[in-house]
Amino acid sequence: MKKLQLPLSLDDLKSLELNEFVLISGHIITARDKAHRYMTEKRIDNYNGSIIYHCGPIMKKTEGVYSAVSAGPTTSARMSIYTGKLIDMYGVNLIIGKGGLSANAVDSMKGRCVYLSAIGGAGVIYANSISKVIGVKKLEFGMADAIWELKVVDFPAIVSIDIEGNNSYDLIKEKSSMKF
Amino acid sequence: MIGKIVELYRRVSTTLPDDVMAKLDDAFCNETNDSAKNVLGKMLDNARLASGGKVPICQDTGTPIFYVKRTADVSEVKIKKDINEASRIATEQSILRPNSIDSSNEQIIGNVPEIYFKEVDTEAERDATSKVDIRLMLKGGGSENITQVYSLPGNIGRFKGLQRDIDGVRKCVIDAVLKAQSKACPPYVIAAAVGGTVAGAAKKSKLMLFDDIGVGTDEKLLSEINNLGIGPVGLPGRTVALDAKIGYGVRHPASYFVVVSFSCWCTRRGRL
Repeated sequence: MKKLQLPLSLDDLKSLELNEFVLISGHIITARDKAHRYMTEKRIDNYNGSIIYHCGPIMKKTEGVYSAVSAGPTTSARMSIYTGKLIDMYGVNLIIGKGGLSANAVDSMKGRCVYLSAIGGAGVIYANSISKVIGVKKLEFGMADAIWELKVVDFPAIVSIDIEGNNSYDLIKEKSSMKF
Repeated sequence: MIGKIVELYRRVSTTLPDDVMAKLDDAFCNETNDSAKNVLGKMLDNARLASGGKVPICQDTGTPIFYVKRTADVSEVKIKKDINEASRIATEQSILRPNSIDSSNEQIIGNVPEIYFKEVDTEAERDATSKVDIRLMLKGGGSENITQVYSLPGNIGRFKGLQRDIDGVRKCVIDAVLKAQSKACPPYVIAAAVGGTVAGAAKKSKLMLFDDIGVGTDEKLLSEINNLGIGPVGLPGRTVALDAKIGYGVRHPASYFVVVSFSCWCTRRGRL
């Protein structure tokens, strides 16, 4: 399995092949429904070049320190309407989620952003791959919708939309629709 | 009672039922695509890690749905109060994510379960229940979002001229799976309810998800669904559904609704 250290260069992104299994390590932030709206309505400092994880974790605070209890991906489709703008505003070049993104979102990613699928439901495996919760913003959005800044080690994922916009979800959709 | 419901929450949030684990294991053994097999293996690993460590299998601990059968002398108000207090404690103990939002003002309000009650005739169903029989399902949001409501007869997706018969019902379910693809964490447990008002059919299909895998299964439908070639996480695969149930209710002559509900591979349910 290929190991990747974040952040990734354009050459790194180009080397990622569809359906390839990877293990990623480095800094990522969680952002789901409310965070996407917030981050695209006005520019937020310090999020340039962020790697976005569509996730609403369960976090636990023990003696003032947060740790992840369960932290798998949430369905990415809902974030599609914000994706292009998020990439334009913050130079995001890697998005992690589940279920893929809409055709418009994939168009906006071409040549500059890759999408990885995390395994939905595997909350404990992903919590275990979070070595540190660095910080949290907008906790008033709720635990699930807050922006959690994380350090991850060997986070397992699958390349589902490559740098050229090839989309494994679309390929399966086409094939399955041909059965009838 | 409150303590017992908290423990029920803990068990359901952290441990998959035996029938679901067994079917997932079958799916893992039958899979021929290496990547899909790898993913199914990780799902099984995750479930074992969760039950061993007593932590939630998935961070989306869903909408808690309770199905409570009670005899006439048991108060619904009292049970509801106990369930609400147990939900508050389970949230505090990180067994549940604070998942309930008041849509009118977007405030987070912990976890507010949906509770369905049924009064049991003590004479006829004495063996089926004690004074109170409490079942809990943690219903994930992703799999809830792919619910579909159909009305027959009609053209549905690529299927033209569907009639009010078993073939029409099966095609509705197949259309729902083609729309869902692998968006909401397959292998799915699927329940299609026919008849009723939309609300009645939706409730029935949800309650059917409390039944074990294999109860009410339409084997022909299940095999057609699993021939679509849809696997987990956008990969090809041989198992997109662990079960496909069909259930029938009473309908108005003008109406023929088919509501298709899905549960993710993390189908979490249990009984007190």
